[in-house]
Formats: sequence, C-alpha cells, structure tokens
Amino acid sequence: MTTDSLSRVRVAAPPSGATPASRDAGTGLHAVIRAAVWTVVWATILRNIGGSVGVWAAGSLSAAVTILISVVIPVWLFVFFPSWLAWRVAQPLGMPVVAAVASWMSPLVRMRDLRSISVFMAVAAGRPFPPRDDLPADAWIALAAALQGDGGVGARAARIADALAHLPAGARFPRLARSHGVEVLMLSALRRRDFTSAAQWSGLGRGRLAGLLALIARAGSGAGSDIPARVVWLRWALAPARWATLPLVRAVTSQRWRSEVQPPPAPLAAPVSVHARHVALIAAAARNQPVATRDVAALAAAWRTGLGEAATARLQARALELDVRDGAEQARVLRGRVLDELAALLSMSHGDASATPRDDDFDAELASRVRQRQLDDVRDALRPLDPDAASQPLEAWERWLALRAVLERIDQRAGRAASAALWYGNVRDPLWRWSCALFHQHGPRAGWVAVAIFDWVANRAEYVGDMVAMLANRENARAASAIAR
Amino acid sequence: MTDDVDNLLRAHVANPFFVLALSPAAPAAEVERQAQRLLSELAAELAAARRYRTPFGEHERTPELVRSSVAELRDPARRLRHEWWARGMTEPA
Repeated sequence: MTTDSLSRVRVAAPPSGATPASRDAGTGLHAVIRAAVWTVVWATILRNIGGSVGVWAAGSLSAAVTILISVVIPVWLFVFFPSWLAWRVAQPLGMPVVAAVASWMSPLVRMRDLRSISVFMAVAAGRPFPPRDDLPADAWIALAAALQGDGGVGARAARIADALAHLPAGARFPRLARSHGVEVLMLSALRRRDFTSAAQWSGLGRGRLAGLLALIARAGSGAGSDIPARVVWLRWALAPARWATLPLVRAVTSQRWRSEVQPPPAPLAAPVSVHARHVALIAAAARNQPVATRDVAALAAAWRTGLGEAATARLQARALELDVRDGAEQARVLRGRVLDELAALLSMSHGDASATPRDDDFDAELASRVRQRQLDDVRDALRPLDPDAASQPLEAWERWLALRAVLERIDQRAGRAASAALWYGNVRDPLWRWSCALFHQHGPRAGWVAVAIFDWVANRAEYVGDMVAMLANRENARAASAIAR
Repeated sequence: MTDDVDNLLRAHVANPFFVLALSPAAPAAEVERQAQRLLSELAAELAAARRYRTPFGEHERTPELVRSSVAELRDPARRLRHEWWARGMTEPA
C-alpha cells in the first residue's frame, strides 16, 4: 500500500447518518418544543408585566422607566435569569430538578449542552459520575472529569486544564462553562489550599467570581502578597456567590493562609546534602509543581561528587562493618537508583539545561536512561490507543492527553529530529488509525474530541514535515468540526 | 508520570530509619527494641505513635509499616542502602 493510499484510508469522512443535516430527528423536535415553550412563557410574562404596570401607572411613567420595565427587565429575565437561577440558587441549594429546568429555559444554553451540564452539576453536588457509555465528550464533561475524584486538583486535573486552555478553534468551550464550570473547580481547589491548581484554572475562567478567585489564589500562594486587603474585599463585594466565598476572603485577608502555605522545596543553592536536594525535587514533582531542567541538571552534577570515589569508598567501608560482602555491588545498585530517579525527573522537567552535559560515563548513562524512559512512556501511552477496542469519547480524550504530554516533553528535551524519528517509527500510523476509528465509531458524540485530536495530529505532522498527514488531518478536523459545531 | 514520582517519594519517606525514628547508626538490638516499642504504642492507640517525621513532613505510621521496616533493616545489604539515604538526607552538606 502506498503512502497516498494509506492517507486516503485514514481520511475521516463524517460518519454516515451523522451529518448536521441528518442529525437526530428527536433532538430537532426537542429544540422546536423548547423554542415554542420559551415563546409562550416569555410572551405571557411580558404581556402580564406590560398590562399590569401599564394599568397601574396609567401613563405617568417617564420614557426611561418605560424602557426599563418593558425592555431591560424582560430581556434580563429572558436571557440571564434562568442561568442565574440554575447556578446561583438551585445548584448551591441542591435542587437538581430546578437547576435542570432553569438550564432548559436559558437561551444561553445550547440544546446539546443540557445533558453535559446536568452531569457537571451532579458531579459538583457530590453525586457519582454517570455511566459513560452514551455520554458525549465536550467541555462540560471534561470539567466534570477534572472535578471528579480529586476536586479539580492533581495531575489529571492539571492535564485537563492544560488541554482546555489549548483547544483548537472548532472545539467549543461555552461561555457558561468558562464562568460557572471553572468557578466550581477554582472554589474546590482553593478549599483544598491548592493555589497552583486554582491559578491554573483561573486562566480559563471568565466573570467577576472567577476574577475574585484568581485574586485569592494569587494572594494565598504568596505571589500576590502585595495585594491590599481592601482590594480583595471590594472584588468580593462586586462578585456573586458572596456567602460561599466569604470564608476564603476572610482567610486570605487575615493572612491565615500565609503561614499554612507549604514551603517550596529547598532551593538548590541552600547548604543541604545532595540526597536532600534530590528528594526535595521529587517531592516538588509529586506535588505537581514545575521542575526545571536546569535544577535537575545541577542536581546530576552534584551527584557526580556524591557518587564519586570517596563516597564509594566510605560506603564500602560501612559495608564491611555491617558484614555486607559485596560493597561494590551495593554502590552500583545505589548509583543505578539515583540515575533512574534523575532520569524520571529529567523526563518530566521543563525548560533547557543551562549547563552543557559533560562527555563522561555518568552523563552518557543518564542520557541513555532518559531516552529509554521516554520510549517506554511513549509505548505505554500508545498501548491503550487500540482502534479495535471500544473506548468512550472522554476516556479516549484522556488517553490522547497522556500521549500528547509525553510527546511534547520529548519535543522539549530531544528536539525536532528525535521527534520526527519517533513520529514516523512509532506514533504516526497507530495514532492516526485510532483517531479515525474513534470518530467513525462515535460520530457526533466524539466530534469535540475528534476536532482536538485531528488538529493536534495535523500540527504535529507539520512540525515534523509530514505534509501528507498534515493535509489529511486538517481535512479530518474540518469534518469533525462540522459535526461538533 | 506523576504516579511514578509519587511512588519514588513514598519510597524515600518510608525509609525504615524515619519510620522507626532511629539514627542511621542505631545498632541492630536497638532497631528491634524500638520496633517492639512502637508496635506496643500503636496497639495501645497512642496518638504520638501514629505519625513519624521525615525531612519532608509527617506521615502516617502503621503496624505493617513498622514490621516491614524492621524486616528491611534485618538484611545487612538493604540496611546499608537505607542507611546511605537516611544519613544523606538528615546530615548537612
């Protein structure tokens, strides 16, 4: 099979019966009923307001008041009141039916988002995630997945937040999800005193409450220690959900959190042992804090002495005291463990190493372990991408996120040539086949996910100079976008 | 990936010398004595015995952790390796 025929096989034409025109007839009927109910309800309300106020005022109202009563208030009632009722009243008070009806009545909520919103609300209220079998994957469901379990903090939530921050143009992130959805995640992270996660979510948030929570995250983390308390109180007074945010604002303005903030890992210049620096970096990585490549490189340089001849001689002397016969072997085991852990840290670190690696055994062995580890990571991330195995759209999206994270780390560390070799040798064909299979299998339910994946595959193909894959996947992204819209 | 570093961190903070609150130079007899004392305190549900300190914060101490720690230190080669890490983490540069 030639490259051209392969590419034709992998162009993901929209699944039959799933084009926008032939989309589920039941959904269309539902949308018509919804519009009819809106018209009847709001026309009745408008007529009653106009009639009763008109009779009561008997022509005495000024033009401004008349416009306020007959235009501004009804428009607010029609456009904003239902979502306000759903998110500010029904959801906090635990009234899922009222929240669902209010969302249904809101013109800000698209028909196709209603189910996803109800899933998000259920997860936010502490109810279990519903079975994923027939769930679509979209921004609301992704937010619900981030909220589930760790409450918007942790590695999985960070990966989801990063993916939502880099959505391609065809993948929708509704305005209500950016405000109400992200607010819930930020509140959850702040209540757990996880300011890093809250700050990460704040990049996606919109609205006054998200702005207030971002300010609290900055002040709580110490990054915004210069923010005056009166500014926080003013933003609190102007934001909604004052009752829910009052404890957070009190805590941050009274500086109660400042003393509770975990100290950052010991700076590498501090006079602590190389062992302590090593574990401090592992602890930082485990807390999901960014690990700089230059810090790991400095640590590796320090280990050269820490594992040098003098240290090995001391270890062997102690081995004799403890009656351990193979002291040299124990030194090799310890060296191997240190190198493995350095390789793990380097594999997940960010940025460039400031120092040029030395051309010695230690660096060569470390580089070899890093390469092996990255290949293992790619293999592990590719294994679940089986086009013949059924996977739900959200699950598929999360698997792709894991692969994306691994490949982007390799880009940073190994550069374009290594990424291209990996792309042609291991990644391109299985990933492309899997993404098309996913789109064909789930159709519109996977449209949002497919747009993101095809767009990323196209960008990646362009990065490594694979024009065939780039053009085909741009076309695939357009096809998926037409369905996801 | 983060699971990997979680496991690495867990292994470091579960160093038997930290779990048993002993110096890396503690002789074998003291290791056994300390393990028995901690197991008795845990059985008596003494609050102080339920946590142990490491240079990277406090962690939960359980009877299983105490038993596995003392078993690790009975093997001279393993003890040598744990000692090397514990000494390195607690001593200044």
